Amino acid sequence: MITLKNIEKSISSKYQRSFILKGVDMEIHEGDFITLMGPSGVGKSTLLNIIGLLDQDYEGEYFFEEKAVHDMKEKNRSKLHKSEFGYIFQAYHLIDELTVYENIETPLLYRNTNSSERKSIIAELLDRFNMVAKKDLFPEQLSGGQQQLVGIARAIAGRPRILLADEPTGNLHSVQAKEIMEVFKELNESGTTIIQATHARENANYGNRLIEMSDGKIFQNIQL
Amino acid sequence: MYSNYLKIALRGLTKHKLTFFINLFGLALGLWATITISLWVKSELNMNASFPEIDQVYRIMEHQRYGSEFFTTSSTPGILAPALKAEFPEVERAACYSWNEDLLFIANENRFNLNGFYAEPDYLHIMQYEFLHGDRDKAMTEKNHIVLTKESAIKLFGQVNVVGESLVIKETGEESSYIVVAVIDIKSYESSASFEFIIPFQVMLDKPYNEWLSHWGNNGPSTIVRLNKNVDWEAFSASIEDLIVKKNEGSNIKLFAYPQRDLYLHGKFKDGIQQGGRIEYVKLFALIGLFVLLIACINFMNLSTAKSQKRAKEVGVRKVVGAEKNELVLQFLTESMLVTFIAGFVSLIFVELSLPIFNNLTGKTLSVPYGDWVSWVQFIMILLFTGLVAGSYPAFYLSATKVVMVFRNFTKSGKGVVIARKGLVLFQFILATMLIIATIVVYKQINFAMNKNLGYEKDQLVSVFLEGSMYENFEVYKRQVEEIPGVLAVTRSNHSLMGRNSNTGGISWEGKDPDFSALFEIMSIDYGFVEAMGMKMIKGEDFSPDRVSDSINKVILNRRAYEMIAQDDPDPVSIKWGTDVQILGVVEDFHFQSLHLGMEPVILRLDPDNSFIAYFKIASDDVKSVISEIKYLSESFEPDFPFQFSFMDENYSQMYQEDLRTKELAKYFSILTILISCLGLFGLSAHVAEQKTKEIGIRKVLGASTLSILNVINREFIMIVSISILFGSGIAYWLMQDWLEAYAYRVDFEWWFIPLAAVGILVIAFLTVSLQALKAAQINPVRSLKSE
Repeated sequence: MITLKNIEKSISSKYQRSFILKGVDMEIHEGDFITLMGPSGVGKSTLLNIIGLLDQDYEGEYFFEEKAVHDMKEKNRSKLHKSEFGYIFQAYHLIDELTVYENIETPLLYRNTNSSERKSIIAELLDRFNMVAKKDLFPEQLSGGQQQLVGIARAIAGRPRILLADEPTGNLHSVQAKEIMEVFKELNESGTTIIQATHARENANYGNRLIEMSDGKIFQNIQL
Repeated sequence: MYSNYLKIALRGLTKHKLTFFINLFGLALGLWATITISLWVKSELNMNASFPEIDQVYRIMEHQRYGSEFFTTSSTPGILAPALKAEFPEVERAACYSWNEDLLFIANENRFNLNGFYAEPDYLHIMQYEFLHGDRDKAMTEKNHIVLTKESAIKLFGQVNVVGESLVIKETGEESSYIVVAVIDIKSYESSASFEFIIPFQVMLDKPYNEWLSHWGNNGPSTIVRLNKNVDWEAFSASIEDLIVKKNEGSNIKLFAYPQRDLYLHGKFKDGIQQGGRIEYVKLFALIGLFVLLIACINFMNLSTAKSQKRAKEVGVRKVVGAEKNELVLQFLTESMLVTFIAGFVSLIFVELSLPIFNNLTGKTLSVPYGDWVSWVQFIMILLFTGLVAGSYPAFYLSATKVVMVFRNFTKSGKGVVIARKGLVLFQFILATMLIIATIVVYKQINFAMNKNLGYEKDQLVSVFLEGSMYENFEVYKRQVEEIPGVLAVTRSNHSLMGRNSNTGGISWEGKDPDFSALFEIMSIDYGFVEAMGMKMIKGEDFSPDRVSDSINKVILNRRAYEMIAQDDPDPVSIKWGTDVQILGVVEDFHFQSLHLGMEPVILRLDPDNSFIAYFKIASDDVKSVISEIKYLSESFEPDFPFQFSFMDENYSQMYQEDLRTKELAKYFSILTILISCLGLFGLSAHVAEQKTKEIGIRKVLGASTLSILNVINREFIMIVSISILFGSGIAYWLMQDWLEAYAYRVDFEWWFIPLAAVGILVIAFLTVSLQALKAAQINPVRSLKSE
C-alpha cells in the first residue's frame, strides 16, 4: 500500500545540518497495525507526518499504491490526504469552540458530505463510542479519555483507510489507554490500516508489527 | 459548511468578550469617522455641480493689476452682462447679480427680514433652480416681479403656491410693492448659494445712489453666463480679456471666464493663477478618513492575532482533518466580516448621533441618505473592504502556515510582521502627537486673535444698522440714546470694521513713485468716532463739530497710510485725492479685517450722511438691560423696522469662523486618534504579553517582582512612543509654522508645546500598556509554564 524509499529529512541550523530521518525504507501493507517505538526525538512523529502527507519537506521517494507522492501536486496530495488518512494526537487537538457533535462533523464538512449522510455517520459513531448523551458538550467538559474518543471518532468519520496516531495514549491513565487501544484493535480488525507512535511497549501488543527506531533510522522491524 | 464558520465566529465572539468589544468599538469608531467624512466630502464635491447644463455655466471674473501683483475678484461692473450678450454670440444667457442683502418684507400682517439678492432675469435660466410654481420665461421680466423660495413663501404667506400674491418691501425712505411670480426650490440641487428671494437687478440699478453700478470703472456685482453648447470656453475666456480696457481706457483689469462648478472648490487665485482653494481641505479630509479606517483595520488585525496561538492550533487541526487553504481563508474572512458588519451598523448609530454636532461644526446640513441605494452599495463596499483588510492577516498568513509547525509550538511571528506592528503603533502615535500639538497651536492662535489689542475697543461695543427715521433723524435719535444711563458714547460710520468695504487706488502725494500703487480703505465717519471706538490719535486732531470746514477736503489717516506717504514726503500736510486734501490728523493703526491680513492704509473722512451703522459704547456693569432700553427706544422711534444689533466682539469672532471650525475639528480628531491609537497599543501589548507569557513565568519563578515585569513590557512601548513623539513634533512644528504663516499677526511656536503634548501622550500610553502588563505579571507561573 505504502512504500517509502530512502526517506531523509534534515534541518540546517547555523553551523550544521542535522538529520531527523536518515535512509528510512519502509513497506506498509493494507490491514497492517504498525507500532513505531523509540526514545523522544528519534523521528517517530516526523515519519508519521511524512506518511500522513502533512510534511512535504523531505528527500526520498514515497509511493502510495504505485502513485509517486513525492512528485504529486499540492492539490492532488491534499485530496489524497483527505480521502485516505485519519489523524489522532496525543493532546487530542479538538476545536474548543465546537461541541462533540460538531467536532466529529468537521471533516465531513470539508469532504462535502451531504447533511443526511452526515447525520447518520455521526449518530453511528456516537453510538459506537457511547457518547450520545455527550454530543452537545464542549471538549473542556469531557475527561481526557472521552476527548480522545472524540478525537478517534473525528479521525475515522471520513472513513479513511489509514489511521495515524501520534502517542494516542500519552496523556491518559492506563485504564483509559487500554480502552483506546481496544478501539484501535477493533478498527484494525474491520480493515483499517493503523500506524501509531508510542513509548508504551504494551501498546505494541495490539499490533502486528513493531518498528523500533534509533537516530532517525529503522533499528528493528519485528513481526509480532 | 458556512453555518459552521458562522457558528465558530459567534462562539468566538461571545467567548472573548473584551477582544470582541474592543474590535467592535475600534472598527465602529473608524467607520464612523470614515462615513462622516465621506458624507462631507461627497457634499463638497457635489456642490453646485448638479444643476442642469452646469458645464456651460461660467463666472466672469477679474484679474486686477497692482504694480507687479494681481488681485483676483469676482466683482464686476453692473453693466457687464448685457454687453457680453450683445457682443459675443457664444454667450447664450448672461446675468449680473448683487451681493446678499437683508430687506424688510411685509405681506398681509406678517413682517420679516429676509435675505436675498438682485439678479437679471437670465439668472434663473443659468442657475436652473426647480420651479415649484410660476413660469421660468416670464419670471422677473418686470420691475415689480419677485421670486421667493419655498421657505420664504411659507414664512410670509403660510403656503407654497403664492404666485400672484403681492407684498411690500420697506427700506429707509421708500416702500415698493412686488408681485410674486415664482416660487423655487432652493434645495433642488446642492448649492453653495443661500437666499430667500430674488428681485430684478433693474430695481437696484435704478436707485439714485446706485448710479455708480453703471460705470465701467466700478466693480461690485457678480456676472454669470451660460455659453452655447460646444463652445471652447478657454478661447472665449481669452476673447473677453480686454473688454473692460476697451470700455474704460487705462483700466488695470483683465477679464476671464471660470467654470461655475469649479469655483467653489478651486476658487483661490494667487497672482492671477488658480491655486488650491477649498479642494485642499477636501483632499486632506478624505485622506484623514482613509487613514483612520486603515488604522482601525490594522488594530483589528493586531488584536485578533493576539489570540493567534490558539487560532494557529485550530488552523492546524482543521488542515489535518482535511481543510484546504481557501476554505480557511473563507472562514477567517467570515469572522472579520461578521465583526465589520456589526461595527458598520453600530457606526451608523454613532453617525446618526453625532451628525447634528458635526453639521453645527461645519455649517452643513448633512444627513444619512437612507433612501439612496447607491449610498448603500458604497457603504457595503466600504464594509467589505474593511472586513477584507481587517481579516487579511489571520486569513492569509495563518492559513498558510504549515501544519507541522503549528503543533511544534508555532507562533513566533515573522520578523516582518513584528516590524509592521511596531511601525503601525509608531505611525499612530506620530499622528496623535501631530494632532495634539496642532490643537495646542490653533488654541493659542485663536486665543491670541480674540485677545489682541485691535487698536479699537471691541468689548461692550454694539453696532446697530440704522433704518428709517433712525437714519433720517439721527441727531435726535442719538441724543435720546445718549440719555440712557450706561450708554457711554454714540457715533456712526459706513464701515463694519470686519473686512474691506470700499477702497481706492487713486491716492497720490508729493514725491510719489508713479509706478507705485496702493489700495487705501475709505471709511466714512461721524464726529466722535475716534474717541467712541477707543482709537488713539497720534498726530493732529479729530474732526470737530466746532469747525464747519472739517467736512470739506480734510481727512484723517491711519499710521500705516501716514508712514507710507512719509517715505516720499517727510512731513506731509496733504494728499491728492481728486483735488488737494488736507491731512487733519493721524490715528494709531487698528485692525479692520482679520488678523490673517496685514495692516492696510486707511483714510477716514467726515461723511455722516453715508454712515448708516451706529456704534454704541456701553458701560460694562449691566449690558443686557442697557441693550433692552436701547431696543425699546429704537422701536418706538422707528416702529416699522425691527431693531437689529450685534456685539462687535461677536462679529469679530465671526471672522474666524473657519479657524474656530479648524480648532474644533482638530480637537475632535485628536481625541479620536488618541482613542484609536490606544486601542492599537492595547492590542499590541496584549499580543506581546501573550508572547512573553513564558518569559514572564520563568522570571517570576526566578523571583522577579511585579514591577520589574511591568518594565519588561512597558520599556519596549515607551521606546516606540517616544520615537513617535520625536517625529510627530517635528512634523507638527513644520506644518503649524506653515499654518501660522497665513496670519499676518500670530503667536510663536513655543518650545513647551512639545513637552506638554509628550507628557500627555506618554502617560496615556503608559497606562494603556500597564493594563495588559499587569495582567500578564499576575498570571501564576505554574499555569503559564505548564501549558508549554
